[in-house]
Amino acid sequence: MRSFVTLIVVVLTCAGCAELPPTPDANDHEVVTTIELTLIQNQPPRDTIFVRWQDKDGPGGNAPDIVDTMWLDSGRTYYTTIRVLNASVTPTENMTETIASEEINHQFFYAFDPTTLGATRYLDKDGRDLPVGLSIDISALAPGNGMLTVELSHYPDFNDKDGVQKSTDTDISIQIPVIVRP
Amino acid sequence: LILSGTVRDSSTHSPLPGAVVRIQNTVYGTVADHHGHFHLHEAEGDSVDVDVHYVGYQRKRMRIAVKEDVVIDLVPMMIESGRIVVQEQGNMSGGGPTQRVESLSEQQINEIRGQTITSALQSVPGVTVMTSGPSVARAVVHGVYGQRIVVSNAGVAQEGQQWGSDHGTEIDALVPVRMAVVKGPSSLMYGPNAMGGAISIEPSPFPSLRSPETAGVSGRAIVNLFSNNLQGAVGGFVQSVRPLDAPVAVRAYAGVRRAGDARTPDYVLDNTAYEQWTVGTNMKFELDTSSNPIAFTVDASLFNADLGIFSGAHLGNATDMRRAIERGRPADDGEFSYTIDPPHSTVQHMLLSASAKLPFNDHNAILAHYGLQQNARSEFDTHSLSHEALSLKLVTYSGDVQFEHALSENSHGHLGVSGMFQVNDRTGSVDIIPDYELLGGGVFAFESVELDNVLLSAGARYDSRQLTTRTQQNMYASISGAAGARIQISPVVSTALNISTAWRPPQANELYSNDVHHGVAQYEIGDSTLGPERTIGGDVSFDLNDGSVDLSVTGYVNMFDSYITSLPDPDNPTVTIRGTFPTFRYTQFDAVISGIDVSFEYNFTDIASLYAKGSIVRGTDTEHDQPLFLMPADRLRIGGHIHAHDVWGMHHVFADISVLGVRTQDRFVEAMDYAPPPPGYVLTDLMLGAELDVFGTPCDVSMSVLNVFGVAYRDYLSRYRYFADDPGRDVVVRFTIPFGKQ
Repeated sequence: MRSFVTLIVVVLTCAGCAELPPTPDANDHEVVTTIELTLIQNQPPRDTIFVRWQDKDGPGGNAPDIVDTMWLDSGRTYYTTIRVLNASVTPTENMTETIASEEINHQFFYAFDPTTLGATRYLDKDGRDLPVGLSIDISALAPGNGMLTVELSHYPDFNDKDGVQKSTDTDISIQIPVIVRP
Repeated sequence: LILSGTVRDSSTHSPLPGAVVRIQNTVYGTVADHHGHFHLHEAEGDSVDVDVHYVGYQRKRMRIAVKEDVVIDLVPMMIESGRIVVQEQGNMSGGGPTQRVESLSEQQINEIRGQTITSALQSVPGVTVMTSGPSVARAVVHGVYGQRIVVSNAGVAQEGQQWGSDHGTEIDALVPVRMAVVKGPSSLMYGPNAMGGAISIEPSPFPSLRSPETAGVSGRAIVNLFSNNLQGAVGGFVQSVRPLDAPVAVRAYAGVRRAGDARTPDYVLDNTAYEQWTVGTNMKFELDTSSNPIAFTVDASLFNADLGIFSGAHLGNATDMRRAIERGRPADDGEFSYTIDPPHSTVQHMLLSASAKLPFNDHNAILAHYGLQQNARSEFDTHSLSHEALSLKLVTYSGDVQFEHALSENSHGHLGVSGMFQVNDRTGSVDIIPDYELLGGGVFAFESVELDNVLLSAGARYDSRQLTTRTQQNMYASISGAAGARIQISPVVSTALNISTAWRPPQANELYSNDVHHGVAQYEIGDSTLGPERTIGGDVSFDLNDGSVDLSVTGYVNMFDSYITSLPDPDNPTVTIRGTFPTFRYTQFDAVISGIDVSFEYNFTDIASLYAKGSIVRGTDTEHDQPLFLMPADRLRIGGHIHAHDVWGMHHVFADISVLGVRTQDRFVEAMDYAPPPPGYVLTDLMLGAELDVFGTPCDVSMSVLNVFGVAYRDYLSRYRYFADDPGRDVVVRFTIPFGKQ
């Protein structure tokens, strides 16, 4: 019986001295939440189109809260830049620089579905003369609607990057609705 | 005339209850009782030929004078490599005395030591191993694994981050221990998490501290070399027994290993290199030198590992996973190296275990245990963008106090209380498991009674668990119970029957998981409304051992009420910025797991035997009437064993060849998995060994060639099976060099 009491005391003492860690879990998520595409028509009137995809609370929880539709005009070409942000923290963290500084380990891939909607062309190169995709030209082709898939492949070993093959270590993969007007 | 006496261990002089003593060429025999005592009334003449055997010990056939109080010393088996015989008592392992317990002595482990401590258990029928590469293995006992199996390390339930099936046992294989597996519910001793079974890993026992004969300094050096991943492992221990004539024994041990990338027959498994080291100590003190001294033990250990994660299994999203599976092999053949690159994980486990035994007399004693452990784990990702690192620190305090008693001459029992307190501290960006606090307590009692040829046992236990997170506090409490009988039908035939019920509260990850599991590219979502699960089950076993034939058969059924598992939710894939992931949700349904283990051995001469060991497991989700996910495939091992003394000046020479056949798991639900189960396979293993005299020191040398023919195969329970083959041929060379007083 004395041992039982001792044990209970030991258990209770421990319960008193060690408690839930003070740092809560919620705010230490360091994730990509937002992709922004800025498209500038390369002919007058040089309209600027701004398209955003955002899942503000990160993976899981709520579904993506902003998925803009990209409206393009058939036959036009758009100079496009991409920004990668973490909006779950204040102030919003710009992660585009991180990618730019590790450009030999990254490549964006853009694909229209159906492919008749448009085409893309890389405008930038990394130190090994391979495309990165932070800036591209988008050409709108046949009118219709569909999707633009934007993917960021990460190559832990830069030798695996050949400019064509996606990696199996995808950092970003989103789909943006596209409407190409006649 | 009466022949009576004691059967005991030749080195520790501890009694061997359950040892079988038979008079040769007659049907007369008996089984030693709890104190190793036996009585034979049927002896005729001045002397008789007896045949004494006990699991894990060398069988002894000898002529002895018929008298009282003879002492029969059995020598622990050095050579029974890869073959485990049934031990007929469970007090070391925490299993009930009527339960099926299979054990491995330190000497047996020396001979079959693999890369992980769990791999030594693979030869036990009904035990399979779930692997994540060469460095991580965990036991699957009768189709049950993970949080339903307790690993007891030096008397303390090992508390690691057990929610991940890619986490191993976190005890190095070089530690001087003996092991036992209880195949069936062991909740009475270990509480709710042992509902599926228990693996007991105990420090090798010290010799008696009472006798001056055992005093001295001794030790062992162990070198293991593995060809597959060019691994070297070096370890050993030094122990001092009765220094300065004090009733004290102290042992210090250490082990270190470094492994490069593992290789399949066709390519290198990139980034599966790992490093591991461990140090520890075992101590035992006795307060006086009476026959029932107050005894204390202290065991402390530190385990450290840095484990590479196979790069071909680390994926960004579900599309990556599909591409990797379609390719059928890693993107590149890999180059062998010892470098550990991201992704990798580091694990540190510290354990302090202390126990005391306060005896009142021969049969009654108070036993107390205290355990303090800290498991720290960090995972490092390749993703530069999100710096995804996960770090977990799990601190567990545990203790129990038991009153070990004998209500009468032929009964034996335990009455006890136990308590535990655990805190998990998570940092990082992965939300697989939250911060939590777990407080638990239990009360238990079990008794066994030995009648003429029958051993009866029964027990019950009440446990409560309180799980607190930031958002919720859950309280769970329930009862476990077990009863069993073992009947010695004749000296050579026995049968046992056990029934039990056990429960397990849901764990923090099952309740709150909400993130991507990268190794399998699936999004796991917990369910905070889950309740406890319960099993009701039983097993029947039959043993026959007449000296030349050794047969044991066990059948079991475990019916689960509200079995907790995660199932795919194909209608609600999780859309994230990294792409779309299949959603798996934790859920509960009724299920049944049943199976049969068979072990057969035929000794056709003194030196040669043939053996066969097989197991079949069937798991069914009875609510949806479909097979349970990840049940081990049917398997059978057939082999031959030769064991001879004094061949060309070598002692204990043995050779063993065996063939393992594993069937394709054809019971699976198509939509539930990314790829169908891999085809069955046949592997051949070869083992040779001997005790060699090296400058007067008897050194054990053994060599195993695993997967002799370099067959490319994938086991259904390998976590990497979607992407790559299992490692190919491995030549293992082991040296065990004793020194000091043996």
